[in-house]
This record gives sequence, C-alpha cells and structure tokens, in this order.
Amino acid sequence: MQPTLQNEAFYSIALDGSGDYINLGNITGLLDEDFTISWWEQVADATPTTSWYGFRDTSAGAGNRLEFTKQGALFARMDFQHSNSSSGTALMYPWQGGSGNDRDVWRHFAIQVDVDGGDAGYVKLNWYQDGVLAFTDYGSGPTDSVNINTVPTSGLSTGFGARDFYLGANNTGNSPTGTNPANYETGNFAEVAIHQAYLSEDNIVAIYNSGNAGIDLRANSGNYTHASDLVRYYRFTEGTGTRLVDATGNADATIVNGTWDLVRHPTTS
Amino acid sequence: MRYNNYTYVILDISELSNMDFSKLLTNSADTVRKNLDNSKFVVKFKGEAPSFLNGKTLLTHEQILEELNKTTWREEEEDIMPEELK
Repeated sequence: MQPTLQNEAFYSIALDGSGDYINLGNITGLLDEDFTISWWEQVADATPTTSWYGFRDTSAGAGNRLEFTKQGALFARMDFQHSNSSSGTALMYPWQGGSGNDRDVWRHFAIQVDVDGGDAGYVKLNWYQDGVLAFTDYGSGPTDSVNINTVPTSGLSTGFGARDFYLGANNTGNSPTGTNPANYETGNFAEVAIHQAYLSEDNIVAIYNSGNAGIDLRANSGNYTHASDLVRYYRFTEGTGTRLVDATGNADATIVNGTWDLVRHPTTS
Repeated sequence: MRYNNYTYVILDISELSNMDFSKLLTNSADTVRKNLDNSKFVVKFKGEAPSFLNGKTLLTHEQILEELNKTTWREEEEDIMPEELK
C-alpha cells in the first residue's frame, strides 16, 4: 500500500549510482547568509565507495568548492574551499567515523553553514545525523586539523560561477557550461529542505522527528520555529516525471536519470 | 536490492541519436552518462528491452557499477579517508 501522510502521497527518488542525481539548481545566491540543508537518505551500498554532493568552480585559480563527502555510510567530511578568501584557500575536512552496516537504513542529514562570522568571524560548519551533531568545524578550533579562512567580505558566493548544486553527485563544473556530474551515490533520497538560517539543535531535532510526526516545514510546530526561513522544500509528492516541485515556490529541482520509488522515510504504513 | 530489475547497456556515442528515451529510464541524450573520452554512453531500462537495443550486451546493476568504476569512466579522486579511520 502506498504510504500516505496528511492525505498526501510521499515517495523517494532512487539513485542507482550509474549516473543519477538531483539537481537543485544554482543556489550560490544563498551562500552569503547562514544556511542549513537537510535531507533523508537511505544508503543502498554500505561499502566505502566515495560520493560527493555539492559543486565546485574550477574556472578561477585553484578553484572554489562547497562539497560534502561520504564514504559509504560510515564516514563523512565537508570541504569548503575558497581561493578568494582573505587568507588564501580554506579547506575543512573533519571526519565522522562510524561502525556497523548502515545499508538500507534511512538517515536524516543536516548540514549547517554559518557564514556571518557568528563565531569570531569564521565560517562554521555543522553536520547532524539523525538529529545529533556528528561534528563541527570552525575558526581555529583546538581539535580540528584544518586550515581556516575568515569570511570573505564580499560573501561566500564570490568566486562561484553559476554552478548548480547536486545531491547524489557533485558538480565538478569543469565543462564550459559548468555542468560535470561525478562521484555518484547509490541510494534513495527524500524530503530535502534548505533554510536560510543557522538553526538551533532543537530545530534540527524537530525536523528529524518530523519524519515520524509529519510536520510540514512550511508551518512552525513545537520546537520547529524557522518556517519563515524555508527557501527550498522538496516534499517528493509527485511520484512521476523529472521535476521535483519546490513547495516554497522558489525553484523546482530536476531529477536526472533517477526513478521514483514508493518508499519514503522513515518507514510508514 | 531495488535496482535488480533495471537493465543497463553501454553503447557507442554514434548510436546516441538512435535512442528513444521515452522507452528508457534515462532522461535524455543530454543527461546520459558518458565515459571520459565521450566515446561511449550508458542507458537503462526496466522490463523488456526496447527493440532498438536488440543484440546489445545487457548488464545487471552490479555489472554496470563494476564497469563504471573503471578509470575509463571516472576520474581518480584523492584518497580522502584518514589513515586512522582505515
């Protein structure tokens, strides 16, 4: 039976690793303010193959990038590299090590980027998994073996061309059109949201719990208080076609070669 | 495995114009995955093979991933896993 919630059908997109991804379009305009991107993912292959999400722009100098990397379901890192920064290239790559086999388990991921200098003028990155902060990286943090740059005064979007942001692959952007998908993920994706805000942990937990409780992120509910900051919201209710409707009305996404699946997160009856 | 009912075919790029994408799970000629020298591409379908793929070598999901993992299809990325986590 098709899963339903609040009288709506929900699906996911199956990406088979052969060349599938979800194109969220050009979101570089969102980089100049704090933002949080969250999604559900059911990893189909728990072997440590590497997949990257995000984009890079290699048209200028060493290239700029905003990429999130996973190896299987066990390890993750984030790269933010910006050759136009005031102190040179920055590269952040904290790791979260895990154990056990995550194959076919639905996980909720949320990545936050604080670009407004809220932490002593440094970019700060948080990675949440299932509502729990897996790791954080910023400034001159004492435990992180990273190079850090200060926030470019012109904003993080500086240095990025019109590069589309991908989920399930990364846009290496080396072609003249700035489109070059690579490093494909194998798994299902569902309910992707982008907030133009640095959400509190309570909000992240509320979004994670919404998978069970059925919170519509367009309305505040309980500890979720950032409905007004929602700038992209893909609910995966279409079930057919290549267009993924943005429930905020801002920018629909494109499903590239992926297929609709009557499986949603987490398992509902 | 949810992809076991998909079938994959690798074709020469000269055959790209012969594809009827309405009969494939691959979106379009613009979104096919190509190898690094752009001489070959991949399409996939579910169920019976479309007639324009008659005589072609059919691959399973496992087989296509093995093929696409070769260096002719993907650029080598840096080894990103820290030694302490290997």
